[in-house]
Amino acid sequence: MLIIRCNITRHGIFENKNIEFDKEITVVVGRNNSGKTLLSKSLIDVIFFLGNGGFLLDGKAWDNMYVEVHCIWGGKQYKIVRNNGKLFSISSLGDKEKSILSLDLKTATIEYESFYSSLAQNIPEGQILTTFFSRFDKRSYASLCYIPSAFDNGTSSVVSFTTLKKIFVEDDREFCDIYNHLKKIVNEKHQSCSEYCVSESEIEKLNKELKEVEHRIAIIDLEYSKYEKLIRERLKIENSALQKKREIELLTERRKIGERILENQHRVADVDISLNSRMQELAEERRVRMEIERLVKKSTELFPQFIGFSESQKANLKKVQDYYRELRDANEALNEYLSSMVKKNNIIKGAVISLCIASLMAVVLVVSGILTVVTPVKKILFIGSLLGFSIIAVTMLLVYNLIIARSKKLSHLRLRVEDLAGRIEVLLRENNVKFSGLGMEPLYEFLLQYFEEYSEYTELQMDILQLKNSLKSEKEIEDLEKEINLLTKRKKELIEEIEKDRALLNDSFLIDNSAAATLEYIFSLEKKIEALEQEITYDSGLLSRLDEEINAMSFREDERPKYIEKKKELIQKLEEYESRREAMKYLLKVFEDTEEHRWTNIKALIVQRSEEIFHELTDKAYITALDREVFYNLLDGTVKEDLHRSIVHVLMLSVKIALTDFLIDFNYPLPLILDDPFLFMDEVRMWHLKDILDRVAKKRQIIVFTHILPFDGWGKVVEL
Amino acid sequence: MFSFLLFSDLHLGATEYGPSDDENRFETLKKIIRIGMEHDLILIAGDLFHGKPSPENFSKVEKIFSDCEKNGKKILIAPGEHEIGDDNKPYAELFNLPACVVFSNSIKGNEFFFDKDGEQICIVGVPSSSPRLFPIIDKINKKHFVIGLFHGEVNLDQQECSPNTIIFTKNDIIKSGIDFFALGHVHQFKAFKHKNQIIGVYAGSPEPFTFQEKGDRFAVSVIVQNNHVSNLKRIAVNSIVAEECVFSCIDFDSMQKLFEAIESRASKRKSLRVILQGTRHFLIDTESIEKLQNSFFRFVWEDLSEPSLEMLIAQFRGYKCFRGDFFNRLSEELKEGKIPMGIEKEDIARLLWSLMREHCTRAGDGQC
Repeated sequence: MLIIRCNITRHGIFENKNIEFDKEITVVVGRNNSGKTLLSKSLIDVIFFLGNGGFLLDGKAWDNMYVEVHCIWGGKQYKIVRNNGKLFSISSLGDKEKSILSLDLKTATIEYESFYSSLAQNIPEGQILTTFFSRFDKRSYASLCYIPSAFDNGTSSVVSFTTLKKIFVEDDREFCDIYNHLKKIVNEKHQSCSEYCVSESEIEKLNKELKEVEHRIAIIDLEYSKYEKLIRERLKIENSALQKKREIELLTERRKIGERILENQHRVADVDISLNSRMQELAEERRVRMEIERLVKKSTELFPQFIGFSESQKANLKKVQDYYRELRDANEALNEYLSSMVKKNNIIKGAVISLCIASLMAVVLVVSGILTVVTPVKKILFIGSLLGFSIIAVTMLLVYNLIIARSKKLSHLRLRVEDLAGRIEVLLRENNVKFSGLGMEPLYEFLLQYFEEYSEYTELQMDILQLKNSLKSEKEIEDLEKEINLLTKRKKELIEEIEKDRALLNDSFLIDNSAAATLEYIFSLEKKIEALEQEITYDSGLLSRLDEEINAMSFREDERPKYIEKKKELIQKLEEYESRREAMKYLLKVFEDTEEHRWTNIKALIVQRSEEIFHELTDKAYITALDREVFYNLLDGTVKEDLHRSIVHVLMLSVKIALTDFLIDFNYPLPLILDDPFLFMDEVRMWHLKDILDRVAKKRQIIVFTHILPFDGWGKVVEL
Repeated sequence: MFSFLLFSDLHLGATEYGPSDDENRFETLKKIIRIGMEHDLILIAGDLFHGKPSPENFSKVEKIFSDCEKNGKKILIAPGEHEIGDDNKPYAELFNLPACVVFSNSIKGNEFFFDKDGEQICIVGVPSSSPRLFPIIDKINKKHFVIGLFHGEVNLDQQECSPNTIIFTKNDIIKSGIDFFALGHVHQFKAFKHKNQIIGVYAGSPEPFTFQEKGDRFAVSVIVQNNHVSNLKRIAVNSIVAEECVFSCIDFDSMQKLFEAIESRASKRKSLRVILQGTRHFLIDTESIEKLQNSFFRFVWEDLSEPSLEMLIAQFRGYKCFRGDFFNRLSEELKEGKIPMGIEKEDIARLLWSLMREHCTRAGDGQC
């Protein structure tokens, strides 16, 4: 910044006074009370009018005062006017003057934040002005641009710590905006403009929201508790019913297995029966075979004569039998005939004998005289008649017998018998039966014996035949054996299945492998199933009642999960925010550390430079008397009380001149206005100051207000 | 047999920075007209121009269209929303173009009849001017094969549509009595079918107007035979090919590799828009980007990536100002493992990057 000229009017002091300033050194000379301090301070107050904070001059000083300052700022020329306490204006001076800003000081009150914002938006140059003035306040600028006289005890004499820090530490304005932004968000609960930053208020808001949600959840929970209790109860019953159903399923399964076992056991029994039957059949077959063998053997032993009979022999036997029957019939006929003959004979014999006996008795009786017969002749006649009659009777009997014995019938019968016997004999001979002593009786006996034997033999043969007929064929036997094998295998399989199922059941209750035990086991399972089913029915009734109760409740089931979800989201967001907040705090700490570090370094450099200037000014007269602490204090805005005012003034000069290099380096080429700097200075010190100011003037504009002209030809001299 | 060539949305005179420019658009227009000469009619479904045609552009188009006039070819234009002036009428320049018939009646529409080889064709159309309603075409001779030439949006699903154009609903299409819709406004090729018959087509922009209009761009050649569309063919006409690539920084460990990946697509006939995403573990090299800009017709670099903390440090630690000191400090903290537990590097990087994007428009001020 370069102050080109100023025009000042102050009643009694300046009357439309024009002062042209040199771009390097301007020396404004004026006697005491000529208005040097007023002018120097008014320049500062006008130039930095738009800055925040207090003025160097109080309000009354501006009564009846008009100050117009022309300056170059950022390559452009501006006119800044303050007309006593009434008006402040800025105009740009290009080809033609253009008003930028005009404030009626009587009515306008400046709210700096909104003021700068409106300035930036509404005025073309507003952005530059805003950037400049919003950076520091008036006092800060004054402390950089203005060195008051040694008599001036105003606050502008000290250097603003904040200003220096802002200039030298926070040199990267945009980046430092981040720092300040973070500070505001972290420490002052400001709202963040960055998408990733989180302010305390946002967290508080989230916390509040979370509390509200939790509160809502608590209310719902309260309402829910009854519902939940019912639901729990329902669930419990439902689970229990489910458990029972599972148990039933399990028991049903076991029952099925049991039934399968039972069925298999029955099958085993059936198979056993079949098997036994087949086995018995086979055994019977074997026994029959053995019986046949035995009978054959017996037949062979007992009736060897019949063994190997040919068919003709067998036919012979049949014929023998026929002949025998015929013989027997013939013989019977003969015997009957003979018997009838004997009977007749006997009757006749009896009659003859009886006659003989009766005759004899009659003779005896007559002889004995028992019977009295009248004459002996008669007697002899009687006796002789009786005896003659008996002899005739006996003779007749003998004749009768002879006639009978010689009857045709008898002979025929006898012939027949003999013929038959002969035939039989022939046949027997053919059958190798030696039979001698033919006679009816032996033949009879023999034949009877023979036929009896043959009958026995044939019976035996018949038995054998019968047995043989009852025998199965080889194929049948083979089939039977196969069947037995199959049944055995099947039985084995069934037993294995049973064992497997038993293993599956693994129930100690089923110790016995009998069907009865299994049946009992099944019954016990069915009993259990029935009991469980009854329980389920009961549970189902309970559930219905609970459902009725639940349905009757007005509680909205879906609300809680929503709030829970919201709570989860909020907690998650809160955690994320907290995490970001921690990152922000950490970054702020790094910012603070950087600032501290930077400030310490720059302060040391400024102090070092100030010391050099101070010792140059004082010819190192105070090199041992003053330590660095004094300079540090000065930079922090405090002045050691025991120091002489002139030393303080020189210290001030040193510090503010020392700042020049830094201001230039950090792009703040502000002018330096010195009010009576040579006061209390001897000639040597004045020369030193001149040399220093000459050097400084190459970098920033120097305006010196002094009561005496210190050096001839030094700078542009303006007399008040 | 009757044939026509349809195109739309060339947007001559558009100043928006897109994948193509007017020079290429004029090249494309020449190509289209050359192809159009082999057809009976050329149909333009709006937005030939993007705004009021400049005298220079008008004379260029005039010159190109004059060939059609010489050959007796007609060009039918249904003006698009970019060709409607403040007076709600198509720009006057359109009417002065040679060989052109401009559909300008926004209420009743206009008709154009064309007979060839026994094919009777009626082309109806409206400009895309207010009231922007589907036209009431009630005088259609049913003997004709009716082609509707419109610049508008087909809205079958009741979606939100642009308010500046005609909206066709399903009902409109069914009741219209139009056999074939030759459409403009939508920049992507799209065909509509009804009962296995093609009943309409958007030719799309023949030259990419935005980077989303990728690949080849077309004019559409249609043949009508026996009152049916017997053939519909897309003919690539674009001079520039637009491409948009999204690269995830995770896939690259250096700018060089990213550069190579982009460079492999290089062509002077291509405009490429690169969108960079994800966490970036390398520094962006502006020289490489400049090189890439010379490798394509147009190259747009959109960096949406987020640098890792290491990259932020590497980028800013050399600054001789507060920023440099800050990142040096952060670097030391990182090296010494002083970042507190529970704070992720990624969070710090994301936070810093979001703040810097918000606050830092420049690399820095002062000495930075």
